[in-house]
Amino acid sequence: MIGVGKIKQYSNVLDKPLSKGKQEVSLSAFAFLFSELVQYNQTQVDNIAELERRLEDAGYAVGARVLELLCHRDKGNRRETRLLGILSFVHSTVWKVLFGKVADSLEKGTEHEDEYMISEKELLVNRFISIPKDMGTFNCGAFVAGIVRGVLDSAGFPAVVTAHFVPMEGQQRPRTTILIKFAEEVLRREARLG
Amino acid sequence: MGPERNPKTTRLLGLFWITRNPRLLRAGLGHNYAIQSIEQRGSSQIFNFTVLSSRKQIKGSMPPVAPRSGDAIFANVERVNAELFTLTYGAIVRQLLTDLEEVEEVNKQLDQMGYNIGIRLVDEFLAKSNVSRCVDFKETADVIAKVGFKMFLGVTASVTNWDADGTSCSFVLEDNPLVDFVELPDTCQGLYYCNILSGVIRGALEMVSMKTEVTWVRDMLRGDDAFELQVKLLKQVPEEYPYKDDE
Repeated sequence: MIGVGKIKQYSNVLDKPLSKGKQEVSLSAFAFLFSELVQYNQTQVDNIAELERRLEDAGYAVGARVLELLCHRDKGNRRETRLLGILSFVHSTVWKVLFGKVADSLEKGTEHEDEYMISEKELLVNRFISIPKDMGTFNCGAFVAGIVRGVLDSAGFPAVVTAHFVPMEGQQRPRTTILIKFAEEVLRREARLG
Repeated sequence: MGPERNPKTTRLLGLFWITRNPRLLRAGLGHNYAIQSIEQRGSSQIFNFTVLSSRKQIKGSMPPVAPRSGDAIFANVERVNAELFTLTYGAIVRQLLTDLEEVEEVNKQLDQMGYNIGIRLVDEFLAKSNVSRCVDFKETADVIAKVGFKMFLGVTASVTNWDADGTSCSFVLEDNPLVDFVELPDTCQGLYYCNILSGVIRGALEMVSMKTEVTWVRDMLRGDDAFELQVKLLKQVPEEYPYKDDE
């Protein structure tokens, strides 16, 4: 009768086989959870900048783990070491796993060498969110910006990442642009590598 | 009578909540209302509405809509990767631990968050599942386990450990998307990591007139072989029509 009708017990989380990442939950379950995250953080701050920073922190924790998980599962324990490589990793691989699709666009800033933008017409976390007028430019995409910063930072590409609404011609809702501004050292290293 | 003192409207605010369709109100009792207009009187909003359907009418005049299975609903709703959900939940718990420091406080806050979710989630549950009124607590528990858990988390729970008078039972979860990648450090041994779930169940049941107490009996993160949530029915609030017409 050994093991009959019993699930195997693992004493350590690392002994457990890594899931394939195909499991899903309903979008509403996530939306409810995310809304609680935002509401809780609203009670902890007195201004919008602080709220965005806290959401970003929460996202950072997710991003750092996503990088580790994906590098291990999808890339045979290797990670991107070049700027464009890591950007397209975020834009395609990370986005696909987290949001079920590749991000709408990845662009290089025209004015600054160190700026890149990932844009999404309807960011998953903003689907059920409307911002009250008195909250100005607040964008819950700060959470996703945090995820991006978490991935980049943990991969050795420190950057400042922010989320912005960008109004679109003929569209009712603005799209969200995640603006990535890499640290100087990243660009210097990139230049050296040629 | 001034609109502020109109019992229809004052009671309305306590008993109804607004669905995603802002012009449609739905009561926990299963009555649908359409809002005709909204007036702003001072700080309160006055809703003028007409009754579209009530459960009684549906029963009498229309064939009942068949309840849908949890699998069928889950297959039809929009879904997201469970890892995003898991990691986001982890980020929330970590934030709470940093902010509140005391594990007990974190348990409380998670339960409160779950409660907030539960009172809104039941609306979506009723709208999508087509379940008719459960005759007793046993049926309610079954529906939660087979339909509720499945349609939101994609897992099913089993119902066991009924007490003699049918007012207390356990949900057993072998698969729980909240806890992938999780291990409790020594400093958090008192943490009920999934406490949000107990809040959800308590909140959702309260909206369908059942006061419950939900406690963890087994927790895989604490070395048990499954997750077991005990739900105890404390009180069934009798249903009453939201207002009397002659008031």
